[in-house]
Amino acid sequence: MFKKIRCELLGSLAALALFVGVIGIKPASLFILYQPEAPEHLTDS
Amino acid sequence: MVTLRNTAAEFAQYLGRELNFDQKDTETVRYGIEIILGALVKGLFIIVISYWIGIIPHVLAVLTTSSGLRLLSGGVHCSTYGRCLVLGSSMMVLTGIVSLTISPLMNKKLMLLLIMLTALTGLYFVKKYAPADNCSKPITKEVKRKQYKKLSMFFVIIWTIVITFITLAYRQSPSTYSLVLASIGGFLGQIFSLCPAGYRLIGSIDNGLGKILP
Repeated sequence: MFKKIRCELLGSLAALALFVGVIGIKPASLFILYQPEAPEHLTDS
Repeated sequence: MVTLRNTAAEFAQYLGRELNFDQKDTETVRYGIEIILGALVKGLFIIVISYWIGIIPHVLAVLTTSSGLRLLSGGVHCSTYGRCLVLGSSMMVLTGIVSLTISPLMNKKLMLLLIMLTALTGLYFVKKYAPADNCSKPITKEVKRKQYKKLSMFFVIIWTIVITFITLAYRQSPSTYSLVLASIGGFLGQIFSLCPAGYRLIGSIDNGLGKILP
């Protein structure tokens, strides 16, 4: 049971990170003056 | 060395192993975690400092205005997260302090004049320089550039309407002018970060901070 909960938690966290990563492709990050290096497959070029 | 990038990468590798992600998804998760961690750390840092000084509402007014426009218009970036944390937080807290200090000198006419001048300046610079991208993720498609420019101009118009309404409707409230001034400060700071002079200034501060920060 704990394995299932752990898997669900990790899956939700990964889904959130994927979502932020994909919508993070905007001209700038929300309020940080630092732009992490974006994965190549997410950028236009 | 513990950095935001290394922490995000290690966490993404762990998630990738546990959930059987391929390399592409792991890299996207790393990018997402880096953004989330960066925003959380900076948000907490700004809230703690502004709470300590007693200007949380003013700093939040700066933060929401500059963040909203920044999301659409882009702007200059620091080269490392540590320098971003120091420079970005200092700019927001200083804007909050200045807005609180000069608000007793303001009256309704002066506020409206300032809002109109700020809006016109904003429209001019957004039309000329937005979206200001960076080498980490350049916007190469012309359609997307036009879309972001239009959205940024839309933001400036909506912001002007909202801020004018607040100034007129809540002018009896003692904190209205200082909060509106904080929002104007955040707006102008973000507009400045779009233009070449902003790139030069932030670039030189970034280099200067490089002598004491990683």
